[in-house]
Amino acid sequence: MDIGTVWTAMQAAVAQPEQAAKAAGISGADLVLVAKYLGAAIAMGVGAIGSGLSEGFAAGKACEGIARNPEASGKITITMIVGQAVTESVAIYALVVAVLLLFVV
Amino acid sequence: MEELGQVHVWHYVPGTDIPIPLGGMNVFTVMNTLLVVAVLWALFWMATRRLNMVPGRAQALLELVLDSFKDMVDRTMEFAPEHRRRQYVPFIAGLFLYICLSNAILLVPLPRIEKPTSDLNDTLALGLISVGYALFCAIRAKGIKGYFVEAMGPLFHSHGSTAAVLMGRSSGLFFLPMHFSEEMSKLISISCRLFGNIMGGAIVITIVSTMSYYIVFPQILYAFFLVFEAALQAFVFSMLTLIYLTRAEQAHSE
Repeated sequence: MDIGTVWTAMQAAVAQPEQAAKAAGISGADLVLVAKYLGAAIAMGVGAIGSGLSEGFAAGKACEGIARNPEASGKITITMIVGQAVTESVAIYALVVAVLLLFVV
Repeated sequence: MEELGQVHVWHYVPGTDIPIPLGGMNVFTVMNTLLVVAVLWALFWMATRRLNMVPGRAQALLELVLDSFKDMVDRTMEFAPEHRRRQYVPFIAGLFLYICLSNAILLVPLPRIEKPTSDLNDTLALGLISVGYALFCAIRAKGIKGYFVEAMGPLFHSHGSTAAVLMGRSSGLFFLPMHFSEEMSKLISISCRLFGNIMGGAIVITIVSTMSYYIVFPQILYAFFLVFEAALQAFVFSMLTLIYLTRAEQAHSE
């Protein structure tokens, strides 16, 4: 057994785990993929909490107002819609960030 | 997901070597914007072809629509005099009709039709128009000097000892960047809101249609997003523009 064969065998032994790791498939690009999907999901999910709560709160208060004073329902509805649209923009930012993560990054 | 990002960018003027500045031109957005404008123009042309004191059906409908915008402006800016209120009605009406129609332009059964508002460039242009017009109105109402003095914050005119006056004056250096970042955030929020709502609607339609194999859900979703949501977002955009204009107008009548 000459030194060349031993060297090749050693190289093969060292190279084998490397190849196995590559076949299992965790490289930098995969990590980026995982982080991107996870980031998009977390951004949308957490970002929707506050906006959903506050929009429901606004709608409930508008209901109370209309029940107390039905003549003002038109004005209350318009104010509620505009306020909800302003509130919603936080969730919309989260959506834009999620879309950026999914399609642009 | 191929339907979502249907963009076709011209980097050069077609047939020549002349580059288009600012990174090119999104052809579908521009074409569909022109289509929206053409549809709107044709509707108005047909309705106003024969104007009468006793209106026909189309003219009566148009008068109803424009009257509702006039009511909206009147209710929001009750304090302003009549002639100053009237000048905002065409702006608000044009903004509303354009955004509403461009959100619903997918109802036109032709190939290559995209909603122009699902492109951030279009909504950014609309936001620039509305915020810039509000800025213009504020400067017209107060003058450039008055505008900057108000932007310097509430402590600018403080009286009393020399130290207090000096502190008040120097607080303007803190309030002025705040004011301009507020204007920038207005621009970003108003344009990203429209873009996000329309784009989110498109994403929801695509995902739910794919999951349900295009059977029942697309029709319901299209009815919701192309008819109801389109008008709602147009209303929100024009209402916010009206609120910005109202704040500019308020300073005028004080």
